[in-house]
Amino acid sequence: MISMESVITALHSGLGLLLLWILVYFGVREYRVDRTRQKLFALRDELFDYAADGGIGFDDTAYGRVRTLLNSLIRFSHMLTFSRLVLSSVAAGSFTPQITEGPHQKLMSAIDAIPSEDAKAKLRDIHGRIGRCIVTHLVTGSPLGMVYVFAYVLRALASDRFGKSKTPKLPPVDRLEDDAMLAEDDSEAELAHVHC
Amino acid sequence: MTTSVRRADVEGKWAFYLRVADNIGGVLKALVQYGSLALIIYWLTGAVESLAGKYTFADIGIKFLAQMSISQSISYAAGAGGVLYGIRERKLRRDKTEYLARRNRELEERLDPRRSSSRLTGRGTTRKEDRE
Repeated sequence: MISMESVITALHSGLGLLLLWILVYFGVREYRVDRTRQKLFALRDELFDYAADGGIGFDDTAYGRVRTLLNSLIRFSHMLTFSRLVLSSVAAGSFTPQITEGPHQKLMSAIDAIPSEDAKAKLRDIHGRIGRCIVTHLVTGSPLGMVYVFAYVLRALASDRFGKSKTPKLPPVDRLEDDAMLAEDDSEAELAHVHC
Repeated sequence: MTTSVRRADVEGKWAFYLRVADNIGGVLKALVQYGSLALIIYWLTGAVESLAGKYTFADIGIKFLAQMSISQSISYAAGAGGVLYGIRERKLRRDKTEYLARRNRELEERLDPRRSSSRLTGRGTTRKEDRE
């Protein structure tokens, strides 16, 4: 027979778990998304200031693409998760990269086409920091992601120690960049359709 | 012509795969989120149901409060207070975001009239139609 005391203990534990659930899904998760958005907004401001100072034209294709990438990632930050990254990588594994030039590839080509070396370096730097921001967001928000990075570090150390030339790859964040920009394109197309 | 058709075909397929992955990811996330909530509720109702017919809800409620120690009460108060404080702080930050973002947009549009937007709400939150 179950005693009243053990039921009360179970109720206390259950209530504690419920509060924890509320904290995780309505506090911590929203905070993490807001923090990532804030970092991306800061990068967008930096890009804008660089263009305002004459480093690159506002109408330059590369500027437009990096800004679009930032806008897409800010907009869809709440959907950036490690499980999505893994599934996107697996699902998109069957396309032919030689034929398809995804949004990420188009962006890299646009940066390569900038005549000024200084502007090219600046945009590459900003793009690199976008990638780091996304990786941090993905990894710190998922126990699976943390295990992945831990395994990555171990493998990198082992390959360094035993002199293997092949170094392991980090999560392919460009897949998520493509994902976000394609979603942005879809939304643009829907809007254009509505306005037509 | 053939190349461009092939290209469009592959790009369409790629976008489709990404969308499928996105949907699977969304379902998995929802399963973890609502599955854990269902488990907690199942546990709580199971505990109460085991006493069905022997005690009233009032008995259980009184016993629940009576068994709470001072340190437990302080912990609950600190936890609930922390959450309330966080909610108020977040509201304040979003109010300030709304106030500053408008001015920032106006100033930036003077330099770049074709300035694109992130399409968040004025308070910096996800729009309803973009939510999962």
